[in-house]
Amino acid sequence: MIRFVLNGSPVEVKVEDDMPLLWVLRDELNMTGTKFGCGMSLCGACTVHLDGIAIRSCVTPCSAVEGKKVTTIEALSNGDKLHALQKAWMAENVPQCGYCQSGQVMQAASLLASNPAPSDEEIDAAMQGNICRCGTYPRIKKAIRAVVRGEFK
Amino acid sequence: MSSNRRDFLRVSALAGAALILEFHLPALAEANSLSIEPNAWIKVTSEGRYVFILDRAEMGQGVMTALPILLAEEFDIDPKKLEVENAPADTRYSNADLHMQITGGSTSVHASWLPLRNAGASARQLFIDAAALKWGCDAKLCTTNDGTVIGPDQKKIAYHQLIDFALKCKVKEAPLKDPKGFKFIGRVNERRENLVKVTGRATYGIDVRVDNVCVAMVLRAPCLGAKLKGFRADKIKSVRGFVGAFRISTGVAVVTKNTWLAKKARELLEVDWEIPAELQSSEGIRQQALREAKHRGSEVFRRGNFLKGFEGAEEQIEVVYECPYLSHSTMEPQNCTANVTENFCEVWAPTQSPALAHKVCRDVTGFDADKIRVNTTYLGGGFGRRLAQDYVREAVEISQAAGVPVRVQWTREDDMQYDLYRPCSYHVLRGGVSANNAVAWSHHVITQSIMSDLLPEWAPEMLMPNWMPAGMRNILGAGIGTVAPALMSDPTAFEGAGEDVAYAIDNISVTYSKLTTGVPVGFWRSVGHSYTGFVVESFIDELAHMAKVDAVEFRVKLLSQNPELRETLLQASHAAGWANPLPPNCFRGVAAHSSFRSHAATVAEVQITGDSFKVTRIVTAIQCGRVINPDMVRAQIESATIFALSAALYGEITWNEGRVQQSNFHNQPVLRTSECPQIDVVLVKSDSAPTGVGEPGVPPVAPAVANAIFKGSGKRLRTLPLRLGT
Repeated sequence: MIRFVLNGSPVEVKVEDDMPLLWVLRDELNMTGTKFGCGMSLCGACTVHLDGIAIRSCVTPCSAVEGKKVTTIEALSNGDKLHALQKAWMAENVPQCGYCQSGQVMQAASLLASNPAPSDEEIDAAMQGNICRCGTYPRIKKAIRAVVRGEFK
Repeated sequence: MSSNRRDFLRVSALAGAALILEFHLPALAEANSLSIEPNAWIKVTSEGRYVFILDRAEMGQGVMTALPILLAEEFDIDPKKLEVENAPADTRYSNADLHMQITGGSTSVHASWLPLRNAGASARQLFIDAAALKWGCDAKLCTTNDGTVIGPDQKKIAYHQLIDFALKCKVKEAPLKDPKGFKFIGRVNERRENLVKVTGRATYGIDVRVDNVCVAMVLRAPCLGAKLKGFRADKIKSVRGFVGAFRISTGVAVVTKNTWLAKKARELLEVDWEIPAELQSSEGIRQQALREAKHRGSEVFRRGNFLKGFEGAEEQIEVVYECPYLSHSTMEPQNCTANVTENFCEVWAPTQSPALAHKVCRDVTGFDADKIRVNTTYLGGGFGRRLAQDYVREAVEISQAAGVPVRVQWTREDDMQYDLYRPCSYHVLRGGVSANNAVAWSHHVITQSIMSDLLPEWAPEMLMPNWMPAGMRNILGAGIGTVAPALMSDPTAFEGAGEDVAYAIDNISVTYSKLTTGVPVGFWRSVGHSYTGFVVESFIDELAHMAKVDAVEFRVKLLSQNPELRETLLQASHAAGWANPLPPNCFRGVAAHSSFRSHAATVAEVQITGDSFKVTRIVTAIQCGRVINPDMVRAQIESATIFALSAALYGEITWNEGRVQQSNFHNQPVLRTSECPQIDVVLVKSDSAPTGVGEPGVPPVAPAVANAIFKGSGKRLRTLPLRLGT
C-alpha cells in the first residue's frame, strides 16, 4: 500500500512497490495528463513535481513517494486560474501536437520556482531533458522568457 | 470536373432531397429541441449549438483550427462559436485529393478549401431563405452578420432560431465571398486547442479510458522473417490482473490491467521462433543497392540527350549519395483501444485514417460496416506513421481473442523497432557543366517502393467509387491491389527528382531501380522529397561550385521555368542577407525545393570549428498560396525545420541480423532545445488557393546545412546523417 499526497489530497493505492509513479498515476488513478514517452527518463514527458521539484515519474518507483507530495499537470493551475507559464504558452501558441507539453510546462514551472530569473543558458540546461518532436523549442523559450519578464502572472 | 465540386454536389443533392432532420425526443429540459445538418460538416441545434464536424486528424499541424474557419468564413459566424467534433468513418469525409478519408500529403486545407467554403455558403443561404420564409419577404433583402440574419426594417434573428423554417427550405449552392471581404481567413492565429494542451486535458489515443479496459503488450518477431512456433505463459500467472496470452498476427499478446504489469508479463513469456537462415543487414542492403547501381534502371524522365550533353561538357562529375532508414518517433508511442463484442467493434485510435482503420476492423471481425465505430483521438504526433493501422489491427485482434476491451500499448522500443521506416536510398549522379552553366544531369534513384507494400490494403478504399457497397469494393480492390504494383512505378520513390526537378537543364535523364529488402517502409514527413531534396539540392550545389558561380545565382538562372520557386528562393536569400558578411567560422548554404504544391527555400548558417559544426540559423521562405492562420504556418515551418535537422544530424536506423539496432532516444537521438538554431520564416504573399504546409519545410533543410558545411570545410557530405569528422 502506498500513501502519498496527490495534488493536495491524500491518496492510497494498493500496488507493487516497484511500479513507477507514472503508471500509478495513469493506470491506477486515471490521471492521464502526465505522459509516457520513453520509459528511460530520456524524454521528460512524464515530468511531475515531488515536493515541488521536477522528477521523471517513469523511473521513480512509487515506493519513493511514500508520505510525500506529488503535483501533476492537472493541479498546476489553481482551479480555473492558469499558471503564468500556461498563459504564456497559450499566448505564444506553443503546443502543436501537444503531447510533450505537460512535461515541458512542469519542468519550466520547477525551474522558475527555484530560479525566477534564469539566463538563456540556464533555461536551456533546465529544459534540455524535455524532447519535442514537433519543434516547439523556440516558442517554449519565448514563453518562459515572457514569464521571467513578468508579462504573465 | 474537379472532385471537390463532385463531392459537394453529391452532398447537397442528398441534403436537398431529404434534409437530415434530427428531432430530439424531449429529455425534460430539452422539449421541442430541433437540430439541422445542412451538410456533412455543420450541425445547428435550437439551443444555439453550432457543431463543426472535423474530418481530418489533428496531429499538431492545425487542421482543428484552420478547417472550421473555412466554413465559418462563408457561413458568416465567428469560428469561436463553433464546437468541434471529430468525424466518424464515413465516405462523405473522403479527402478530395487522396480519394479516401485520410489526413496526409499536406492536403487538408488544399482539399477542403472549396468544399468547406461551399458548405458554409450554402448553409448561410439556407438560413437566409428560412428567415425570408418566416418574414414573408424577398430573400434578396436579407443579409447576415455573425450568425444572425438581418432582414428589412432591421429585423434580426439568429440562425439557430430559424431551424423550423430552414427544414422547409432546400439547400442550394451559393456564391463564395470575395477574398477581400475575409474576416477570419488570414487573420486568426490562436490555436483552438491550446487550453486543453497546456493543462494536460487533451485525450490522446494513449489516454482513452473505457470501462473495464485492460492493457496489452505484444511480443513481436525478434528479427525480420521470424515465424512464431509456439509460446508458454505459465510464469505469467503470478502477475496481478493477468487476463491471458493470445497469439495474434504480429506475435503474442499478454493482457493485464495495467501497462507496467503488461510489460512485466511480456518479459515472462516464453516464445519459440523459427529464425530464417539469412538475416537482413544494412550492409546486405547496401550491397543490393550497389548491384542495382550497375544497371541503368527504368526510365522515369528524359529531356534532351543526356549522354551527348554529358560527353560534350567542359567538366564532368559522377558521385554517389546515400540516405538511411529513418524512424518516425512520434512522441506518443503507438497504441489503440478496441472493444470487440459478439456483434460490435469500436476502436479509439490516434489514426490518420478512419477509413483505413474501419477497413481493418471489417477485415479482422468480418462485421458489416454499420457494426463498426472508429473514434479518432488527438494524435501525439503523426508524421505519416499513423497512415499505417497496424496498432488498430493488433487491438482488434486482441480484444476479439480476449473478450474484453483492450488498449494495446507499444513501448518506445517497440515503436522504434517495429516502425514503417522512411526508406533508405542510394543515388548515382552524373553532371556536366559548360560555360558556367549546368548542361547535363543524370540521376539513378535506387530505393524501396512504399506503394508496393501499401497498395493491396489501400486500393479498395482509394479506387472504388464511394457508392459501391463495401464488400464489393474489397473484392474488386483486392484484385487491383495485386495487379497494380507490378504495373505502376511508385511515383513517391523519386518525387522531387524526376519530371518535377525544377531546374531547366537541357539534358536530363532520371531512372529508378526498386529495392526489395523486406524492411517495412512507409510515409515519413515529405516522403520521397525527404531524400530527393537532399540529393538534388546538394548535387546542384556541386555543379554550381564546378561552374564557379554563386549558389543562389546558379539556381536562379536555372529556375526560368519555375517562377514561384525562383521568387521563393530570392525572398529567402534576401531575408537571410545572403551576401552580408558573417562572423568568423560561419558559413551559409542554400537549398530550394518544391513539394506538395508549395515552394520552399532555406538558407542555413553553420558555425564550423575543426571537425564539429553547429547550425546557428535557418531562414526559410515558403510559398503556400493563401494562408489561413499565419502564425500556425510559421509554427509548421519551425516544426519542419527542427524535424529535418534532427534527421540530418542524428537520424539513422540500421539493421544487423534482421533486427533494428536502435531502441530509444539514447541510441537514436533527436534534436534538443540547446541545439535548436534561430529560425526565421518568410511567408511569400500569394492569393492562390492554399497549398501544402505540413511537409514542404522539410526537404531543403538538410541540403542547405550540407552546402554550408562544404562552403566552410571544403568537405562535400554525401551521406546522412551529416558527420564532418570521419
